[in-house]
Amino acid sequence: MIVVDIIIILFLLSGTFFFFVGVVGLLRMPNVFTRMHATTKCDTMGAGLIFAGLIMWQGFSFISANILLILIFVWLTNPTAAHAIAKTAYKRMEDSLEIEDSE
Amino acid sequence: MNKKYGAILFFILIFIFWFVLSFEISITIAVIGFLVSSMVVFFNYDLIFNSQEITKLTIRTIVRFFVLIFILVINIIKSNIEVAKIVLSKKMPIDPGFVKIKQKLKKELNQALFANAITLTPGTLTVDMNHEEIVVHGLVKEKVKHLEGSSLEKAFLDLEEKKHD
Repeated sequence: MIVVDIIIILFLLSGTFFFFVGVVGLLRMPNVFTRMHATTKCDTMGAGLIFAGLIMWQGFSFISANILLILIFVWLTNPTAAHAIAKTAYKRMEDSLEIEDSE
Repeated sequence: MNKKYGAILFFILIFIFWFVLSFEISITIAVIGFLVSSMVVFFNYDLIFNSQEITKLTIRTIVRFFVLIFILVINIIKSNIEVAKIVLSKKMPIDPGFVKIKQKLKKELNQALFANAITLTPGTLTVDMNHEEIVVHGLVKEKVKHLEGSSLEKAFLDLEEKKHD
C-alpha cells in the first residue's frame, strides 16, 4: 500500500505545482491574453492531477465516479469561461490588433 | 420535431446525472429529480441543439471518440509542461499573437467542441469563431500554426466523417 500512497502524494504535489505555476504566470505575463494562458491552463492540469490522486485514494467506488463527473464538469466549463473572457477582451480592442493568417 | 427528440435525450441525460449525484434511489428523490430536470429542460429549451447535430452512436464513433479524448489528454499534458517551462524560465521566451486558421468541420456542435479543445490545450486560446475560420491567440504563434493538420484536428475530422457508417 505504501507504493500507492507515494503515487497519490506525487499526484497531489504535482497538481499543486501546476497551480503554483499558474499563479506565477499570472503575475509575470505582460497582457490580458497571455495571462489567461497561464491561469486557465494550469488550472486544467492542476485540477486534473489532484482529482486523479483523489480517485486513486478513494479506490473504485461511487464517490470516485462522482469525482470523475466533477472533473469532466470542470474540463467542460473552464474553456467556456476562458473563451467568454477572451472574446470580450478581443471585441473591445479588435481594431488595434494584428491577425496573421496561418499560411 | 428534431428539437423535441434532442430535448428528450437531454432530459434523460440529466435525470441519470441526478441519480449519480444523489447517493440513493427512492421515490422522493426520483420525483424531485423528475421535476428539477423537466424544469431545466423547459427553461433551456432554446439552447438545445437539433438531434441532427449529434453524431450517430455506433461502435466506430464511440471508439473514435475515446481515441479523440486520449489524443486530447496527451496534448494537454505535453503543452502544459511546455507552458510551465516558459513561465518558470528567466527570460520568458514568448511570441504572443493572433492567428487565423481555417474551419474544416461542418457540424456546429463539433465546431464548438473543437474550439473548446483548443482552449483546453495550454498555449492556445480560441477568441472568435465562425463557419469559415477560427481566430486563435497563441502564447507562441508557431504552436498555433502547427494546429492545422495536427492529430487533434484529424481526430475531429474522423469523428465527423460519414461514409463508414
